[in-house]
Amino acid sequence: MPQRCLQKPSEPLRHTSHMEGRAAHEASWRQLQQELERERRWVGRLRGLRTRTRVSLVAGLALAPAVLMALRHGAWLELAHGPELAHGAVAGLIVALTAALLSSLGEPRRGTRRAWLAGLSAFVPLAGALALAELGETHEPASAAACFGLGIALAAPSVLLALIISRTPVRGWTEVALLAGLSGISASLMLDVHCASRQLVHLVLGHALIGICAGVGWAAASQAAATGSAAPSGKSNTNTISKMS
Amino acid sequence: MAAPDDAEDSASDEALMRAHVAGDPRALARLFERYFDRLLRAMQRDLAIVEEARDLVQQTFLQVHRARADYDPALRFRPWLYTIALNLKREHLRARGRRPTVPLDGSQADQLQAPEPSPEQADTARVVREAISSLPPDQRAVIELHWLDDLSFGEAALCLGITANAAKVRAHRGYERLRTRLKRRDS
Repeated sequence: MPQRCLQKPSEPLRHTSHMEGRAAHEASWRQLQQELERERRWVGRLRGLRTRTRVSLVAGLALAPAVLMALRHGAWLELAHGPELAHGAVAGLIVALTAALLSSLGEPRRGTRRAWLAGLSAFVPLAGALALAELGETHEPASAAACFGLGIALAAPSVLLALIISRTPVRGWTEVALLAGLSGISASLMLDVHCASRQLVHLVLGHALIGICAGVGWAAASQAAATGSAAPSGKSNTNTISKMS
Repeated sequence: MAAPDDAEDSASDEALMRAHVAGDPRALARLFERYFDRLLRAMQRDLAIVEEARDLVQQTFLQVHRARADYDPALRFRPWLYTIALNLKREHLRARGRRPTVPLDGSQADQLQAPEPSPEQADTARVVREAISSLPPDQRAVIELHWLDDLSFGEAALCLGITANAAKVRAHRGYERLRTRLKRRDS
């Protein structure tokens, strides 16, 4: 082995002048204990749940409106008899939402950023809008602005919950964008079931844009929060980051 | 921190983690005691500011606590711990939007923890650390985990999300490059 020919370099620990060696160790442990004490609160308890439980909570909250609406109006029966493109769009939505949730809430590991999901999050709502435009009108149409506002409001709770119970301290903007985008898509799916309009312009502006705007908006907010809360040296990052996660 | 008893001293990392999951408050303290210095060294390789490195070690153990319900007792604890630590360091550097910065010229010698090496040893160590830091990131990551942190290739591979064979190949290439550079310098 090559390393046998090399002398392993010593790695002395650097410490601040006022807090060296053992003292630094003890101080860090005390700070960690304070953080662990805070983890006893309800948010900490939620973060401490198994990943599959947390994913189920967020996914359930994201999909519940669409499922309830579909059960109430039976509009998915209509979708089931719709064109193949509509089926593909819904299948794509489910795959993308599941993958994004797993990516965003899963255990910290290398390679959690999935750029291809960003493409899906933009593609799926547009594909869904095009597919649903082929179904025809069955209910009273609403205005595009009303649908857009309702969709954004419906997308917010699941994103908030996901950010609250996410364990990883600083979220990358791509993960936030994916999560918010896909929650927005779920909300737009609910609107597709609820709203009668099958006009392409209405579906694109009032429905499909929800996922894109939610993704871009949350990502921008996340980026701004990360930039604004970059901890200065000498101050514990832990408190700052806990607020963000 | 309370002094651990003999039974805890000899307990494996995995046993301590299982005890922590079961609610034993002393188990995490013991793991912290075991790994604080090692993780601090790993953090300080890329972070010049001491407080940042220490904060990241704290956060690593906070994440260990948060993720305790997902810990699989059948798997080794150390690669899991290092995976969390390395991801936190990567996220931290990315959030700060900067590349790793570490003083390699011994300018902080007055802040080093005893014992101090001889001038010759210190010079050799500095040269080797400089050579390691000049390696491509993928080779450097494996060598640091395997050589400096004493992880096996399998454990290093787990931390980096690659296969053990890929870790060996990267390490082999990195060691070759290191040896070449150090020989060139000596000559």
